[in-house]
Amino acid sequence: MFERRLKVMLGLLVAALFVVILRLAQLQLVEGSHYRRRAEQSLILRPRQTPFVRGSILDRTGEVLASDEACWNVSVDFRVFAADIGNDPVSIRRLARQWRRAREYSASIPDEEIEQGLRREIADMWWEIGSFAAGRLRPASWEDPRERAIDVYDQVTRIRRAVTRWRGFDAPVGEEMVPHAVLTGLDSAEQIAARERFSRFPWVHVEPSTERRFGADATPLAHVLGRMGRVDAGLVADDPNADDPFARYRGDERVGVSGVEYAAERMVRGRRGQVTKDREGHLVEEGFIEAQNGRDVVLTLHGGLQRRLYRLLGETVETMPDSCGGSIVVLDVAGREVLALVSYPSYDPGRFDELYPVFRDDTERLPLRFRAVANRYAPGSTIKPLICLAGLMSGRITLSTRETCTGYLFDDVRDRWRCWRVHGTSQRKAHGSVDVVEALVGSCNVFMYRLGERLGVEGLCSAFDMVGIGRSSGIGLREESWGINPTPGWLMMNKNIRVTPGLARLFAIGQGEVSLTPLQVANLMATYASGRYRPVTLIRSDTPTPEWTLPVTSEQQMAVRRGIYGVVNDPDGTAYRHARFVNDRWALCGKTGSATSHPWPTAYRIPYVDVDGVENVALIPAGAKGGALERFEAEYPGAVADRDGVEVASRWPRHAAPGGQEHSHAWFGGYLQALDASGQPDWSSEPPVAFAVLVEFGGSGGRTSGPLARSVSAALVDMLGIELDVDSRKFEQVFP
Amino acid sequence: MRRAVLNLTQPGWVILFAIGVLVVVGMASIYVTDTHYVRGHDGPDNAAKQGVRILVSLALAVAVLHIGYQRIAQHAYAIFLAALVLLIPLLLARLLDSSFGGLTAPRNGAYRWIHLPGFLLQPSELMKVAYVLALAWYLRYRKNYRRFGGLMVPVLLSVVPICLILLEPDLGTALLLLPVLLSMLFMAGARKRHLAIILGIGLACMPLAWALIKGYQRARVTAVLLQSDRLRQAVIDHPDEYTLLATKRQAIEWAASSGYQLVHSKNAVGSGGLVGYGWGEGAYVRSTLLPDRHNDFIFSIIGHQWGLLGCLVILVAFMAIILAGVRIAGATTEPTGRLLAVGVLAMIASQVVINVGMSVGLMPITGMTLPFVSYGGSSLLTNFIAVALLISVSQNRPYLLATRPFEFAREQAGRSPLFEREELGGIADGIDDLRGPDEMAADAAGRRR
Repeated sequence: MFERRLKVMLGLLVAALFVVILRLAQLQLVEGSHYRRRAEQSLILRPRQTPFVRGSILDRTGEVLASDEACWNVSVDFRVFAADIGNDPVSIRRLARQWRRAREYSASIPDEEIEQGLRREIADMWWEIGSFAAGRLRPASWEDPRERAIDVYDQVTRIRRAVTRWRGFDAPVGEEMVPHAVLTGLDSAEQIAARERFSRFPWVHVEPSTERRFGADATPLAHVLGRMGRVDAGLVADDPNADDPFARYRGDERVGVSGVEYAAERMVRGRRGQVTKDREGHLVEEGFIEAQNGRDVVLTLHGGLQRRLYRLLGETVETMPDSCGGSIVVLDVAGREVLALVSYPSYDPGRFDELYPVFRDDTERLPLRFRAVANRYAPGSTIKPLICLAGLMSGRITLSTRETCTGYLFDDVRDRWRCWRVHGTSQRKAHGSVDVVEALVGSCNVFMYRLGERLGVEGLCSAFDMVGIGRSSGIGLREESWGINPTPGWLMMNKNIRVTPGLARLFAIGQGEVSLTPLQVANLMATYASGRYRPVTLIRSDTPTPEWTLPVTSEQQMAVRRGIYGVVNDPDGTAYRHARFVNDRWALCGKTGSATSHPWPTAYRIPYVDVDGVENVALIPAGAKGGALERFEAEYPGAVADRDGVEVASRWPRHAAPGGQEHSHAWFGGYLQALDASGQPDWSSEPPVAFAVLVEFGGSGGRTSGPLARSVSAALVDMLGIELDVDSRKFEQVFP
Repeated sequence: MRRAVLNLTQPGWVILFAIGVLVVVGMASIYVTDTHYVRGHDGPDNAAKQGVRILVSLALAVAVLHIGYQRIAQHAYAIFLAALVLLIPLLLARLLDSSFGGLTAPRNGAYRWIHLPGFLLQPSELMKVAYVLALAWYLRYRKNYRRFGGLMVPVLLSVVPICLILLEPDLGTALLLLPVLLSMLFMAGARKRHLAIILGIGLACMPLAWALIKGYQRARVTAVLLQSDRLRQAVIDHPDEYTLLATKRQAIEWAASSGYQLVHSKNAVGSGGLVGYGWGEGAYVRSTLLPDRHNDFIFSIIGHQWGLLGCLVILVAFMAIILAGVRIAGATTEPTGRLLAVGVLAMIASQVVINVGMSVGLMPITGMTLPFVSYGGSSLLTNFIAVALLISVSQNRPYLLATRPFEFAREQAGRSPLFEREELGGIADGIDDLRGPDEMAADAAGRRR
């Protein structure tokens, strides 16, 4: 029986071995080639994407305004963030294992001891990185590395939560597998120092990267160039390259979020490359894809002119007690290329990250506001030539139509519809009988009131529409405001008011709801100068923009140009004393404007009940009530704000009476008119450049912006040469 | 009686030769994985350590041969008790969650090792051979295991070490004791019916065990099933219908988590083809992708380097040991020796089948070494001692004309059990050292009567 049972056992074993051998034959002979391929692939590490170089931004003279430069980042494995910030036990255990191996600790040292040592080591690492960052020569991108890590950790945790919801179970996401940068922008000497200093931490890596650098004196260009920021969800959702793993937006990328960086994102963006290595560190040739760098972008801007105008504007704004900023826009008339797009005050783009809290809280001067394209102002008298053109082209008036200005529209209601000449304590005479040209020269309000009445709100609005008010200017910046064209529909929808003759009068002198950006006023000036409307261009391209010729006769257009010429060059003109600029080749023409405006809020007082139930009042600097409440919630977690009790704590200008004493923005819009040999205007030549000057709360347009316009003219002649050769391509007319 | 130190019989030479082949192949693989193993748990001198251990184990094996299995078997219960005592600090360490100053520090969350100066002792490995000894000693003259109730003592004898080892936790080693127990009972002549009932009870308890084991242990079992792409896809598509098998997440992450070792082990074996990449060549030698490739997964590395032929050499060597062992068991008439030989064979064969099976994806992955080939001192020591006992059985044939033990078939053929009893008692009279205390007492009583 023993022998028999032994045979049974042996039989069982042989059967088991037979199964094993069959399986071996299946794996090694039948499917051998499949596994061989798999084994060889397993030697190759997961490919890593390499960064592309973002295209540079150049001005029209070829000067590099912003470009990517090679630099190095110090990155830390996400596992360290999870262990240190998130206190995640799994990460701690894995790190401890890695640490044990790196330090070759004996297996007899218990895990708890290793973990304690690890925590000390991580604390040491933050100290080392922090002191390394503090000791660097260029503190521009200095930021507390651990703060940054906390930021990254929060973001990745959010991503994981979102992915969990989508997948249905919780699992690590791709962002948790890669190191994240805590220090950026190291130069080559610094990266060597960093490698040495952090070599003892197996989870700290020094990786090549790129950083946006700006040319010298970049402050005047900061708004135009724009900023880089994190990829947001909207961008990922609308990604046109979502199917291309090398071109699509990645969560850890920095992309343009404002200005040209955003507008030209598709152009300056490249395509990432790929590097594949095997486990021994050798490059795998088949896995190499070269990164495609982004294309350079050429702006129509003139960097030198922009900087000079920025300084001129700054000098003026700083001398005005009430003024907090302003804007100058210069356009080439023929192609409507933007030559200068100045907003004052501005900021140093290289130190934005560091100084952002200061900029944000400066709610009086608003240095982050791109005034040239983002702020709307009532155009004031700069709109008057358009009103005249509208009247002439519609036939409501002719060149010989005359109106009598007695200083008042109605002799019996003297405090309502006045002409500016008899404003306040002014003892000057009224304009008397004026035609179109004289009305423009003297900026006669009464003439415009009457004309406005004749055109009506709808007539005015169709004229506004004709020159792009309430429509995109074509510049392509996301900050852009389209201005407001107060059509009857718009008025009903937004203000809930019906059209009255009074509104037409108000719009005709550039007050009321109608509002324009400085860029639109500059384009308006170019339209007066040429009789054509065309969208503006900031980023050079070969496709011409469409053009719209105003339906006026050349005599009518000349009359308006004569009027604008007279404003500066006629002794009766409103800008004759302040803005007259004549040399042997050019004369400044323009229109002043003083747009009444209200002081804007700079801070809010928010009553609240804090977590302990104590009532208190918080003072939050902000430009809008909603923004103030949002910041309050972020800064006072747990406190309950009394939303109805929020009131404005302070306004700019500071001494504004609570009742709302009116202040004026000072406008000057103009262009340079060629003179013939005898010093008279050469009406046959079209003005080459047009511009707009705005000084916020600058008071009278003539007194404040006039001298500035004169300096601008001098600068234009100086910078662009005596021929004012803007070197713009003369596009043929393209009709919409 | 003087004997030569190595007085090998023919099966002894066969076994020695086979072990030589296994050790050489194992050392070659350990050495090669060593040179490429930059940072490992045990440092880069595995091959040298293993060499020393082989020498130490050989010396101990020679000592065992010299002493002879009979004298060792007399102390079987003491040895078994000593091995149990060695398991207790690990149990305490696990329960108190303390490492006793690094003496029983856990690795990967398991308390299996006692850290002694110079080496790590794995008491569960020693337990294997102590268990075989004790079981052989217990069963050698009995017949009560032919009744169902009599099976309870050997089963209880197994439950204690199995529970202690399970608590470490070391599921693989604990479960290894079961085939050893079953084959020894079977070979000792337990009734098939009873064994089938025990097996049936065991199978009936499976759902309970399934509920009791930890999630990662369950995942190891299901990982084998999830090898099938179709099944995995089915779990992903209809996670609600397969909740017993795996969650959707386990199916998605299979290749990176519970199936990771399996995937790479299969890649390593399969890519070897017929003749393999050659010594020290191939992706899995050059990379450290396959964890534990120098101990638990050494068979995969052998298959990777030498292909199907290499695998067959290993299997043939084990088969040679088994066949030689079977000859030894068949040739000896001494009951202890017979059971000892059967237990040792069952132990080695089970380890081989489980280890090779898990390497090629037929078995769940457990921490099971391949005898004589894998890296690891305790395993080496245990197997060398076990084989030394086996050879010792072949050397020490008792000079008696006893009937062959455990031949119960004749009983059914009409021979009276009384006759057999007398036959054995009469002949065994003169050889005191072969008898257990209960036999001696019976004899003494008989003489008095």
